[in-house]
Amino acid sequence: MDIPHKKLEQRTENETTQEQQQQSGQQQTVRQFSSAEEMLQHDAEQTTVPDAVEIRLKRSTTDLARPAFPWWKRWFRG
Amino acid sequence: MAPAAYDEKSVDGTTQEKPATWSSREFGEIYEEYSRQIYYLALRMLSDPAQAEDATHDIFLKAFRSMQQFRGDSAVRTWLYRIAINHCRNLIQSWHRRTMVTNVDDAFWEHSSASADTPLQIMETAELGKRIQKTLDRLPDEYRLLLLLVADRQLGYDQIAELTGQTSDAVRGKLYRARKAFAELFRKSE
Repeated sequence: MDIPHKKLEQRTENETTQEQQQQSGQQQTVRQFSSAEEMLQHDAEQTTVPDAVEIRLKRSTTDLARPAFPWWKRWFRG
Repeated sequence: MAPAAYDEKSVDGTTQEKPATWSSREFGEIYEEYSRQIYYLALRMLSDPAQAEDATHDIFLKAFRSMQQFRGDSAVRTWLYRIAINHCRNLIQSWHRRTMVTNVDDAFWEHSSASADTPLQIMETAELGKRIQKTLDRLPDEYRLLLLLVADRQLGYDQIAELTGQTSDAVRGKLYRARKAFAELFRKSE
């Protein structure tokens, strides 16, 4: 993979330890990525799929796999 | 992931227990292995966590329906990505999303891409995610897709070429320009 010339930086406010907070409040940390894909890879790895997707999908696939309810059974259930 | 453990009233009034297991073990394994990459692609292509959630469900449901037709000519990963790309493209086209301004609430992002345990990590991830999304939204569609595909470490140039219908050399050339464009826009987004 090609690496761009300049590094990408992500500046975020970083909470310091309690001791440091007492002394100097908050500090800045710099997270560096050597390329766009490295940044996106990091972003993708930090991403979590909401549990709701799996729950819905389990229900949907179970419904699909289940044989259709016969019309005559529906009829007799009134 | 914890199984669903609540009941739900069905249409006919009877109580149905939500399925706690996959109806197909094979499909469950596919979901476990690829759901993160597919959700990430949908999230960054659609720029909206709620839409990405729906899209991921629909993509995997399409995959489930067509599992019998999957002959193994391509890898499962490539097969899923193809379904995902087509699905997201169709959504974007039908909504004319690219001409609209994304106005997703900031709170969405804090929940969408945060797997960190500490508040610090959540803050970092949310901030990074927002800037990445802002940058991707400004890229041409082709560059955005190429960068999102190359973000999957398991996808090679040949597979990306197959998915985007071009040669590996063309992918390399366009990725070079895509990286430059991304880097420039990302720095401007600060």
